Amino acid sequence: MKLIFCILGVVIISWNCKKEIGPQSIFPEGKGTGELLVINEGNFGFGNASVSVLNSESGTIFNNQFRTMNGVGIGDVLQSVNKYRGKYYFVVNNSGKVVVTDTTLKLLFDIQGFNSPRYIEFYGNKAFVSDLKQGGVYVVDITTNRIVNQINTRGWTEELIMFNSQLLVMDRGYYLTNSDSNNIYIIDPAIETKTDSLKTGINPNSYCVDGNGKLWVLTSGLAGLEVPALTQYDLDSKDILFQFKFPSSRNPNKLRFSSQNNRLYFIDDSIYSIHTNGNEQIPQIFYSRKTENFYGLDVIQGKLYASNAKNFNQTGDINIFSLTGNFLKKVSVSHIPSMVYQK
Amino acid sequence: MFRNWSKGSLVLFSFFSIFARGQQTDTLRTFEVSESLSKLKSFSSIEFTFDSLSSQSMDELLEQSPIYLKNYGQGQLATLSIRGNGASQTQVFWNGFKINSPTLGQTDLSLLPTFFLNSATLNYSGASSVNGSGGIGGSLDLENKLFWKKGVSANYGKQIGSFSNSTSTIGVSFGGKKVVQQIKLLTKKGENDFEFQDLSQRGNPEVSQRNNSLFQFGGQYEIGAKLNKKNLVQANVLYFNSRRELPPIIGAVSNNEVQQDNSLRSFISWKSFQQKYMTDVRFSYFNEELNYVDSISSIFSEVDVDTYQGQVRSTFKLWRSFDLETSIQNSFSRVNSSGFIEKISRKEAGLYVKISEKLSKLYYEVFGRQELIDKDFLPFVFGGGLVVKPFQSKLKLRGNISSNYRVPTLNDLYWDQGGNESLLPEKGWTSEIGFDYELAKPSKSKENKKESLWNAAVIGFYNQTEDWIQWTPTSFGYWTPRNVKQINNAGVEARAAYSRITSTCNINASVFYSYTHSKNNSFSEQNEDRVGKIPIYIPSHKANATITLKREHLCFVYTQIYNGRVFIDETNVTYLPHYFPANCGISYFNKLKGVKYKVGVRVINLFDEPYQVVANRPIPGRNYSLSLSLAL
Repeated sequence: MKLIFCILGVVIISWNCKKEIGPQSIFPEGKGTGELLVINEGNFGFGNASVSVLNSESGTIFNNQFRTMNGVGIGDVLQSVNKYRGKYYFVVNNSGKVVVTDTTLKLLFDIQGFNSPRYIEFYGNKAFVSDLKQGGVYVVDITTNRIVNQINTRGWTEELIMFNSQLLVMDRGYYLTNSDSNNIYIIDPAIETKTDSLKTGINPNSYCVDGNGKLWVLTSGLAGLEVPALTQYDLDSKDILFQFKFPSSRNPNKLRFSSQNNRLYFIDDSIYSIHTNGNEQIPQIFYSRKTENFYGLDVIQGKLYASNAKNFNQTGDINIFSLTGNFLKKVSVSHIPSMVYQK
Repeated sequence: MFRNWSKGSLVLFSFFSIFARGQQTDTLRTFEVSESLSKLKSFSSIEFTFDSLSSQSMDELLEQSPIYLKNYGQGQLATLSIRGNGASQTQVFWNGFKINSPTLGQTDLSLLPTFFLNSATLNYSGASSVNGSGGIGGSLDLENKLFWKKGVSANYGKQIGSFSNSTSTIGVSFGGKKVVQQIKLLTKKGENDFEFQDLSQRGNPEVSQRNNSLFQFGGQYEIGAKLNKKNLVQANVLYFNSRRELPPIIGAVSNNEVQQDNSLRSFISWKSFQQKYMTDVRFSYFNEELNYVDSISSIFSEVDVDTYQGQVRSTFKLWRSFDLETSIQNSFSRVNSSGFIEKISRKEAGLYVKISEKLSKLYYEVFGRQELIDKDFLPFVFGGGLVVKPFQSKLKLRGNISSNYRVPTLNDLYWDQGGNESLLPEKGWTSEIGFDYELAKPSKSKENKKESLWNAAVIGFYNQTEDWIQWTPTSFGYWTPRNVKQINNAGVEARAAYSRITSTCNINASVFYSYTHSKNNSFSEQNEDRVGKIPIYIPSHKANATITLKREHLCFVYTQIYNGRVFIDETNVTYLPHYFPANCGISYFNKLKGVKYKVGVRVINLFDEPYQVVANRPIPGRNYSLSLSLAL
């Protein structure tokens, strides 16, 4: 009987001691300050997406800030964030939702009903949300926070750009193969209708508009059919103004533009750069990769932020460079950092 | 090529068969009828047996051992982790034939109802090498044994539980003088729409699990025939079909995913018992299909595997207590997978030899295994162990050391895109040292031989696995497997058991505790963040305790489980907290007009503890099951 009482005693003590449920973090708790948000995408199916706050000057980082503010995680696979009218709109891909917070990251509400959302842009009282699997762009009324319409496309809609009151939508085709013909649609956001389109190379992955209003598109190509390419288009005539073709073995992605020095930056294992004036025929090496696994790239106020996701199943870091290529700092963040965003 | 290989195998088998038949002298009953290779006695293992009235599932039983069970939720994927190794490093054998999927490299325990089995032996050390390689961590040996009971007997079981779960079983056996046959049928279904705390929403509201229903059915036919006093044939055909929905993780959208598994497993064995040796010639055929459908994402994945295996096992009593055991194995697998460009096949051949001798105070055993996969010889596997009784008492000291390896799965080698044909096998070695102690207090009563019995064992282990295979990202946008790391595991396991039999009451109590210090020792790529860290989903502490009280026709069982904290990322900054669930049950058994019956009720997760075994996969709170078993 003594044995039974001993075991029951251990049961009761341990039962009462238990407080934590579900995934926990050993990051120090507490609210932090900084001028940048770091989006930690997290592992698919792990629910470990998170938001960090970064002070780029001091290199001080505060992880898990969404959970710190709200007591819950943000969801599964945090894809992107955009700010509009004093609110942050976090697009949480595998949770099929957009999480809306105030500028202190306090949760206000969720917008539900998306299939596999990716990016968000705004026009008036509307938000436009791209989607991996839905074959279209959602239109959300941000006064009621409900999906009110869908503008159909051929397949996977990815990055969105609002340019001259027109919404540019990248369509990557059927998301499992990327083998369809690919387009960038030009949508009039007021009437929620496609007004024009531009046929790109196979499988565009990122794009941006330069200081002269020209469109630069980075395509991944498809083995045996087309090599990856960086292409400059005239948005009105659709003419190709410049093109650089990569060897078929390459995988260039995350094209970004700096208005400060009119240069483009992208990841292709290492980080490369090219001027938008067309005088450089070949992208220049900006930072030669050592062991990093660069997964995100952002240019903010004269600095370049390269996110290193490492092995994906571990915490990553943000490498900060000046636009001239000087390495400034490395900051440890959470799991799969993919985006740095100015608050 | 297959024809040449199969021809070679047949010649080999024929030789052994002729050898076996050529020396018929006297019949010996010293060989165990059901097992043609003996277990490694100096290595740690636990055996679970199932009778016709038992209703426990495989994962419930294995929770009562030192190993860590990784369970994705009720009715969902359940795998084993042994002493710091993962699910792929654990081999599962069915009647001596390897059943780990050649594509995934692991076995889902939720697809193995205990109703179709008679025993399961968990080898959580180097003893996994008896049946084949690959069990770097250990193995689970599932067995069907023949019971020579004359006449017709039958058993029926019905279990109903929370969340619309129900299981029905029926078994009928026909025993004659020379032939015994048995048919078993099972159906199982459940909605599993249990409520849990949604940790992704403010206030953690209670929500119901979605897309989590299960439907399984299966049937088994067994036959055993004594050809004469020295020859026995045993055959078994098992069909099992499982359709289950796959729920989303907490806070994610449901894609209404469905997984369907169909398996047909069969084997035939011919055992010949001679005075100084026995031989077992055996063949098996397995067909396994796995279909995964995510209609929202337009993913339709299909895998169809045919596996043929042949073995000749022989045991020789050479002189006094010096024994020799040999096993020659061949297998051929052919896989049609939507993840491969073309059909893939794999041929394996292996030779196992073991010698053992039992002396008055010493038992020793030494074994070696050589395998050939397709055209490549793999590293030679060897091991050995000792059991010493130094003081003629109930104290046994034992120790062992062995090597093992695991070849890459077919998905690792040929998956399109990412498959890496230049992968090396994982190599590992394990060692153990410890003692077992047994103290019996004799009874004054003539009916019971022992009144009380104490058992205790403490064993320390150290194992190391090199060239661990892990899928890693590439710069081309897809993932590929690589031999990335070496891990070391050291630990200690302690077990104590007490049983007491009185004229009115039986008490059995047992406690297990294991401590595992596991760490990533080195990485092939420079990655200082992960070196020295604990691999994911390996608890440092695990314990369980079980108490069984029997009084007349009543039986009460209480089980307490403790699983320590596990890290869920390789930099060890996120973890799942420890959990401490308890189960209990009470049953009444008796006999009425020749029919044995048992009525029971079980309470699972008695204290309604909310916990997760796998991150964001909820486990049901307190739930109940009622069972009725009849045997005549």
